[in-house]
Amino acid sequence: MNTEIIKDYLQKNSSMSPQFIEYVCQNMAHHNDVVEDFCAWIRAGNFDFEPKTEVEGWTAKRLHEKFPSLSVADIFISLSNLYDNPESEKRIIESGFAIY
Amino acid sequence: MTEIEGHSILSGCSNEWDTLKSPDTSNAEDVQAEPSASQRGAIISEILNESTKLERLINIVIGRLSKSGSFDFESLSSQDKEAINESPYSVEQLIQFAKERIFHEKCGEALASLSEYNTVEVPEKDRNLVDIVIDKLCESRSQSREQLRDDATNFAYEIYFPSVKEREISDIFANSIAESISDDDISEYIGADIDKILENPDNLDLALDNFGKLFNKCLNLHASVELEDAADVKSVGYYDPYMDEVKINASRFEALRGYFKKNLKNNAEGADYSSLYILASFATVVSREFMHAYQCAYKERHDDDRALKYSMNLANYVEISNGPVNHEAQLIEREASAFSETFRRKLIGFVANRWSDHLNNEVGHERHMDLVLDENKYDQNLALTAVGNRIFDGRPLSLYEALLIERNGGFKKVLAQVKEMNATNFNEYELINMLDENGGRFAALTPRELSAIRWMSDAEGYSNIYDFISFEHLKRDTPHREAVKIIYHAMSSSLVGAEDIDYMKVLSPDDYEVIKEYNLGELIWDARKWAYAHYSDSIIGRLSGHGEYSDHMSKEEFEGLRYIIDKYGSGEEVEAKNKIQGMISSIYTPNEEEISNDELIAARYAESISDEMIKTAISDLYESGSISNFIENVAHIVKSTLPLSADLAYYRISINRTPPKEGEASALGSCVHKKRVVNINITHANELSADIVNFFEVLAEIIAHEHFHAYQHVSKNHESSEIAIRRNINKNKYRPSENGHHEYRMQLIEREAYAYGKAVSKRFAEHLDGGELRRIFK
Repeated sequence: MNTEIIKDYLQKNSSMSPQFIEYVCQNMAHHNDVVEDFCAWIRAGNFDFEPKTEVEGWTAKRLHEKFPSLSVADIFISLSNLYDNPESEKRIIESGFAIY
Repeated sequence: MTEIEGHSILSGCSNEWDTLKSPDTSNAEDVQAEPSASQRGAIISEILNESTKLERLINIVIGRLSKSGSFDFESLSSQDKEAINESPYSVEQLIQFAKERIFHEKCGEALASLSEYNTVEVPEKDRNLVDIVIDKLCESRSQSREQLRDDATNFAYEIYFPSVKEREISDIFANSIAESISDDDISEYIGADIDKILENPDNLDLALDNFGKLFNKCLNLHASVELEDAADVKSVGYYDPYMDEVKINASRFEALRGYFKKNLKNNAEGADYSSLYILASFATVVSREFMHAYQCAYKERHDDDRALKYSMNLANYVEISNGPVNHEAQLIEREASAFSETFRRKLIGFVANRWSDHLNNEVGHERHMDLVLDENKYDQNLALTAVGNRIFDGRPLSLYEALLIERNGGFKKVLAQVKEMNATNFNEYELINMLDENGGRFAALTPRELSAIRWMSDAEGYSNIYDFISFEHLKRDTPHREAVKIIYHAMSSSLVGAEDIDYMKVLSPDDYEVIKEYNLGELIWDARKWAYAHYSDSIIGRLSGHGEYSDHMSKEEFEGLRYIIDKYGSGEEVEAKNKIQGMISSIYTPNEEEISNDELIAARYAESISDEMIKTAISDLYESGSISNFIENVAHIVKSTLPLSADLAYYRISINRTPPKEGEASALGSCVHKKRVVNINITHANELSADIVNFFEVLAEIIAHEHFHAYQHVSKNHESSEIAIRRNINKNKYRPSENGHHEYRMQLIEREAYAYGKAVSKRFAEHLDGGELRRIFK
């Protein structure tokens, strides 16, 4: 149910393709805490909620503070990826989400 | 032959006929008892004369049958009547001989003309003859014409468009014939020759007769075999059914032999395998042509479907100029390939067994015997890689490596694997330049050049390498290119399909002069490829569902679409559309398997960089202390080891030192294809690096990453493989980072470049010395 809220939000507010939104939501559904934090952000519109997710030392708020230009979707996808592929995602974060 | 010709020839031979009419039998017996040389000559000439006379009479009958479909003795000229009356044959016998001759000559043509896959335009003068054959076939098969038509259509599809199952049946049939040749037979006929050939490949020519004897005995044939020097003929060998002769083209074969002989000179260790390879190649060619001889003999039976298929295929032979894929797919060629391949393996096995015995008894080389006895003892992949590297370096192979190759499926298979592992060392451009020099004609290439194409084709697959070379060639300013452009413009402005255009009518006489030098089918294919290259974006857009793909399609788009559809071999637009949609999904939302495949392909290229290259770049850095030098060196390494390196050579490096904005993900590098430039931001790279070692790792990664994008740009224009089409779609529909960092990273070209960059960086990390770097860059 919560992933439906996220899907709806991304469809209306991001430029992501429908297939990618589907892919993101499917992956995120494996991590309830990330889904709940994402929904909390959608409700509050800011990062001042009590976070349920902390992976490898990162929370949604910390990622936002460190990389202010990062999109909200990318922040929560990153948290989800930190669970699934920690080494690869840590490298991406360390590079500052650098674009090649 | 016409009646007039028959009349004139007969009238000039009446005296000879008289002497043959009533031969003196007592004399003949004497001659048989003890013929002198002159008597033998007289007998032979007598027999030849008689057979020539009979031929002429049969031709008179055939001439009449072809005119009216029936034979009316009374309608003949008085001289023809006289000739028949004076012959020892009755009219009925002659008609029967004539019908058998017609059947023999026209069976394949008749069947092909009946089938829906009708490639034969029966000339007016032969229509009656073909009708006679069809009636005879219906009678012998107890079928109506409609039933025979259905059978002929099925035959055609099995011959030219075989299903997997039919291919298997062909393979099994041909393999079983090859398997029936026993080791004892090989030993008896060519055993002694093998030793001589392995000792010196020049002895190969001497063994030709014995090869002929072996195949004639095992296949129950009587064909002769000989070397023929025909530098202008493309094939390595051919079978002449009229003379019943297998011909081996000495010029073509010499090119192959030359390559291995050169190896023999350079390294005695590889002598065994070089000689074995020459022997095996020779056996492949000879056995292949003998299989054709077998097929020609088999078709004479006319009593089963296979014989009829052979007749049909021989009468409607797909020449190699129609495309090597089509050529190889037809029944008689795929059978010949299967037969020769199986025989080659048998022969190699025979020799390998001899070697094993030799090693065991005389040399006792433990390492070799271990390999022979326990194939699991060695890591075969590692061994294959080593073998592959040796092939690419042009060095000969040792016996040890030769056995490994055979154990792993033979030379072609290993070469294909090696090519996949290390797809860097083929110089296609050299061949393209050669094509330029002779107007784009493969036939005009030298044996060495054709061998090189063949060599690449073995690993790459015929269609890819031919496509690649012909496409590259299209881009050159040559008469061939001009011809393609003429066809392209004609097809663009015509309302009918490219094949249906009457080019002689629509083109100016000058333009027609240009195109008539070439094969029209190939020009149309090239023109479609041309259209595809120019309109691929919009064609793919339509196929992918973005727009109605068949409505409002321009003629150019439509012709480009035909290229994609033909390429997939489905013949169906719907299937092509589904395939494109599948590709799009694998570009933007790949599944795990697709992700790992793409990353693996990209990372493999990093493995082809040698340790020496990396060490040289690093030692240059230590000596010069110059970061710019290092960047140039790394760029040179990746450019020269990625495929299509000649095109990548045009890219240059530009170093940027603009600091990134606070908190923003800025670009570390970029590739601007149109300007052929790769930009590297070393300030940003420095800020992202944990230490000096990491800085050079990051630099290597960015350089490699951006050059991989360059390679993707270049490859999409060169290749017609699925991955090239996917890269093309992705380049045309690139997802920038504004769509979200992760979606951006997920798309095909980024994940490929990322994997390659990381893999190259890892290779450099293995050799970078932190202490040394800190000393230089304090």
